[in-house]
Amino acid sequence: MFRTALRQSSRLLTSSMRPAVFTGVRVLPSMSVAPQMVFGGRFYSSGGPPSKTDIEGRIVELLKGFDKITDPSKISTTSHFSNDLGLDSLDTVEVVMAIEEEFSVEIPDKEADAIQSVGQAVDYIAAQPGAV
Amino acid sequence: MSALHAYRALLRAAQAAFQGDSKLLLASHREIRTQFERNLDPGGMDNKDEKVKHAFEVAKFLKQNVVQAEKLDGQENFRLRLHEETERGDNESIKTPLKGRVGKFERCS
Repeated sequence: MFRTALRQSSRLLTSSMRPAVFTGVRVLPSMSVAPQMVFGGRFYSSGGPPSKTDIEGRIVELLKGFDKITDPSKISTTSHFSNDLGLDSLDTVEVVMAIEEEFSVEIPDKEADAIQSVGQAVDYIAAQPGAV
Repeated sequence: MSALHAYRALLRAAQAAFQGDSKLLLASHREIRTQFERNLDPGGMDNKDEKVKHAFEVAKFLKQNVVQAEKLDGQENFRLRLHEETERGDNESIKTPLKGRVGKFERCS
């Protein structure tokens, strides 16, 4: 609710002000004066749910750090955890748990079982309103 | 109940029980992994239901009956990290007298 309110009020702002408010760009000391102070929401950590490209990138990064994957060059946005990356069922559980942590969501068992590829994970996270 | 659900439950429980304790987190993860690998092996599949049940029970125990404690600087006291799921029992039962065996004590051998 709060987030929607933020987004709506952001439309009222001029485009020149928007970046400082929503992209998390560090505000330079010289900029941190009066005009932006009007809008307290700029301290809110991120601007809405992550984009699909953003999610893909973060999941790929996360997989690169997973030591069970012997051939990191096979990691792509379409990789299947077991067929392409050679992960077993326990590894897959661990990957899905790492994804949960990355996006601060909790995936119920049933839905977690269905996530077997990067693409499925991206779709699932993109559909989660609470993902950050 | 599937073995993979038990695996997830156990890892979650260990994460909750050993929060911030990288040594124990790593060791518990390794132990859970080893045990599951051994039991998921086709040769170790007998009594699968029992093993899965056991895993869930361990997860429950980790969540409810394990607390972390930290010694306070320069004191004899520890600070316990109780959390939402920590089991809080009560000792109300001491008010109900034991039936039948009151006054009769057996010697420990």
